[in-house]
Amino acid sequence: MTNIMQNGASAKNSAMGANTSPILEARNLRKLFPVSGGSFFGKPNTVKALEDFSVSLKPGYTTALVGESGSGKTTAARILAGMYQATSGEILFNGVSSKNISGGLQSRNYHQHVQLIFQDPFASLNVAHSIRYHLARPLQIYHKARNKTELEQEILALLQRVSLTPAEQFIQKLPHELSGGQRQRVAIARALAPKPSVLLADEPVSMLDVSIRLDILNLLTRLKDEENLALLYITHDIASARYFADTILVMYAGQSIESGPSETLIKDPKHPYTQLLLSAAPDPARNSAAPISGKGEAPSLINPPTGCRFHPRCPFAKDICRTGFPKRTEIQKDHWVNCFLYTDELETVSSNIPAHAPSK
Amino acid sequence: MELFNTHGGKSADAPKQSSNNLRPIMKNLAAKLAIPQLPKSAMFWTGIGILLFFIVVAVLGPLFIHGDPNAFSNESLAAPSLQHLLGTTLTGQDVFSQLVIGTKLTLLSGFVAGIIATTLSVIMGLVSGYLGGWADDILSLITNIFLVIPGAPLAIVLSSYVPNTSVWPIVIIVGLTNWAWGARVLRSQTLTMRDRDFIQASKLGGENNFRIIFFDIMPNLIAIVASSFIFTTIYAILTEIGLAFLGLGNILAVSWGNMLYWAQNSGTLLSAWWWFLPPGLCVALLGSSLAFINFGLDTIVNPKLSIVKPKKRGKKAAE
Amino acid sequence: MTAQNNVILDVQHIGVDYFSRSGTVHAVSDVSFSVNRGEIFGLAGESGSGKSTLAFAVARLLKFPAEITGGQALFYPKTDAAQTEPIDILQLNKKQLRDFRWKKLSIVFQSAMNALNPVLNVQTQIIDTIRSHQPHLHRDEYYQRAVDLVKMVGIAPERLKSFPHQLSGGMRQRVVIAIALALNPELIIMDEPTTALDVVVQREILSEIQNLKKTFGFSVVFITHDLSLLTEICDHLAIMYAGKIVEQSNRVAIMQNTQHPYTFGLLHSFPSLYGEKKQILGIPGHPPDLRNVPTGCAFNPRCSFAVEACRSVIPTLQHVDASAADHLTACHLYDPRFQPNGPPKSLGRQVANDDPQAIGTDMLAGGQ
Repeated sequence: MTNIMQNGASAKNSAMGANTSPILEARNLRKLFPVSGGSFFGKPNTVKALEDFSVSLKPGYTTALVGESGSGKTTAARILAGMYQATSGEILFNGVSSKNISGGLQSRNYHQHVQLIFQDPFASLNVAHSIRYHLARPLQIYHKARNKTELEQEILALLQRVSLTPAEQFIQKLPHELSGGQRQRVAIARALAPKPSVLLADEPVSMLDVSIRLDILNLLTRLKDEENLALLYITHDIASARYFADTILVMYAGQSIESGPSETLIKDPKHPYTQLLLSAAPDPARNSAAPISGKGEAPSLINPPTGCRFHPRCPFAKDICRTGFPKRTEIQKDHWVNCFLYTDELETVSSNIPAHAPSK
Repeated sequence: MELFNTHGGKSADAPKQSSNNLRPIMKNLAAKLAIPQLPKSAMFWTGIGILLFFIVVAVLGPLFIHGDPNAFSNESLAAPSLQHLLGTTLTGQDVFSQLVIGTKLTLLSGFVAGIIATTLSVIMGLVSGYLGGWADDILSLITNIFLVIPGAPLAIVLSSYVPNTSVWPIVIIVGLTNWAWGARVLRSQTLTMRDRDFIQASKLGGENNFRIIFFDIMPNLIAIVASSFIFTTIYAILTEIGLAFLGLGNILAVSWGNMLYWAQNSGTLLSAWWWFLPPGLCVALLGSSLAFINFGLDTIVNPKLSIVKPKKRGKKAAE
Repeated sequence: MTAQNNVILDVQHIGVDYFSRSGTVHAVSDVSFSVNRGEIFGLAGESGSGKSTLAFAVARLLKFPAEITGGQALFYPKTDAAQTEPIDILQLNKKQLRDFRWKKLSIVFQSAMNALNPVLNVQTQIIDTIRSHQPHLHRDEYYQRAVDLVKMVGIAPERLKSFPHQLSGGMRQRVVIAIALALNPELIIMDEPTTALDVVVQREILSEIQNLKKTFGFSVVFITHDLSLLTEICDHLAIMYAGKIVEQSNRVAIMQNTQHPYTFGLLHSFPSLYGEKKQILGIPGHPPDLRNVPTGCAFNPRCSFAVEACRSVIPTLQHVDASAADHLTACHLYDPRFQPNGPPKSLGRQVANDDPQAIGTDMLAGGQ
């Protein structure tokens, strides 16, 4: 068995500079989902949910994955969590390729280090079990407690870490006795139980009441800092991404289109879609709905537009946008964009043409 | 509307208070079976009442019946009197004693058959529904075969092969031939539950398939399991009585079915009403009591029958 | 409030109870507000605040186990000779209600998919709505009206033959708005019409609503949990908490002269895209369970300014600033009896260490 945590300790001790090595890296992930439909005798349709997706997560840093529904952000997170298998591409944990991790990404060996927090705390807890059961199971499975008293102490400590106090009261409760915010705290505690080094949070607050969202996000940030976690924050709300993330990666229709340090990206968005997203975000300071360019909605991923999938909505679309996907252009350090507006050499990423490539 | 929006929705956040000190699993059972909802259903409690009555008779009845209910006497076909509350049979046996003693065997065999069938249906349904793939194909095939086999004729054929020394072979046969429908229902329920977030979360937590099936999924299907159990029990009781009536059981055992068999066999069905009417009525009553209980459970299993309508934000597809 | 010319809806002391096995729940208690002609009136609140219940009550859409316990909802139709008196919506009988709804007042729900019939195409659904109120038109007239309506909301007339599932989420919501507009109502109640939509589509629908409002002059009661959105599009808005309005004013005053700590907390629950990136805290605790509402001011367990009186005396909506005539707030902070030193300078959240209710919701500061 490859010890995938070999580099963990050293990563934590190293300086928090930009040269911290990533703990979890995805390279050129692609995901196709077969769906029913299509002609009776022909090949089944596929949803091209994710194209050429790359991201790297560093300990102690938050990366936000921003996109609308159908952007592929949840698919990306679920592949990283080991729930789905990528159609192609590579995932590296601590520099070790997923192929060399014993048991692969669907094993306890991997789950122990990479945990996912689900969007809906009303669906992610089992109504049949108490909070104690929810937290005891991962502790038992990953041998984080040797006996009953230790288990009980560990559970109480977990509850305290997510600020569910008095923990002695919460441990007995059933999910339906808790509010949405408290449930999400339990879900976070459960994800923390195996002592992971990567936390993937899939829209962790979008189902919660407005007034408690910040508390949950602040809690995640606190935990990230305390335990030096690498945090992936998936959201449709770019304003909250600015607030909580160090890096933002914007996705559209399964393609990642722009990424950069959050301040830079929001102050100086390059991709027309990022600009559209920013102009559409609610802002009390605005007097009336500002005119926005790029009307319409995200395309169906069964038959996505060729080339850059944003081109049908893009006010600047050129001919080349219809045929090829632009390669990554570095605007400045760590800020890159996939858009022909910023590239002179009309090179395309070959893996994306044609969009109707035969599926494997 | 949002007052009841506790199952999801954009922002549902009302906590629920409970000062219940029962152990969580019991609390959950109460919540699952929706104990606070049930008292409203008079039907359910009528059913429970009748069933309890029969159970009490089965347990305590024998204490008050002295002597062998099969003992012959000279009073052939005596009408009901103080001495023989429900009269006597052709061979002078006391109908009341037989009825009381027979309760136990009828109930017990019904429930045992129900337990056998339910256990099988839970295992087959949950495992095939959760595992999917070829395991599902094989288990579903077996289930479908058992589904199309006509249960009663098979039971008749099988029971004619086994020696009639006790009632249990029939119980087992009935149990083994009646699980398929329950398995199908549970399989489809499991299919809808398999991809739910809390199951996925358990998977990511490192749970193995066995724990997920029997500790995560099953507790959520307990109401359906209970309902399926009661349904099979009714069916088992009726099948056994039917088989006994045809003389296919152990005809010497004291049960309601055998009472009907002897009454019919003696050709007195038209004259001695006290012989066949009491066991017949008891069968009907027991059957309806279980059916009532099932209707009560139905209102819980079928969410459309409850007023509480959660409103759910549209799930984002293909993300 | 007297019936001014420009008031279209005047709701007075309305209350709604839910009956449940565990007792009666006051989902809305003694709420009054009025909507001006041609304005967007916003109702903001979290789950359990009663905002949707209130709107459903005004539209008379509540069903058992909910019941309106009192009050009136006066509707002032456009001046036409026959009708000079206001209509009390709550007193209408079934037939009057049928006439009233859709012609005068229509409703747009959150889930367009649920509001549309999946087995009928868009044209049929639009025409059915018109026909039920105007039964004697010619077929071509119905069709022409349907074409006009979808054009109005920005859908190509070819889409009339589409079924709901063939349309995208934004298009479906546009169709629902078209149906709401079918009979030229004077007031449209919109219950979270954009919540299920993506931000860009949400923005488009919002500007569509504003344009249509300008063209046709109807009024809108817009319900949402998203206060940042409301402050952008509304003329007046009311913030609800635990079945009551806690603050009510025009848009600018709510933002710049926030008076209720809850409103302040809500406004500061949204990270902004602009300005300095600073620590923001939200509101501690969680919205109340209506079966067990805190005594006094329902917000007191979450309020860092709460004093003894807040736990015992229920605050009422008052003018707390003589210069702002339309600004009402229900808060003891502005009552000299309870706050001898006057209201605090800033409503920013203070960390109350001794407040047991704040437990479980601490912020960044670190563990216990």
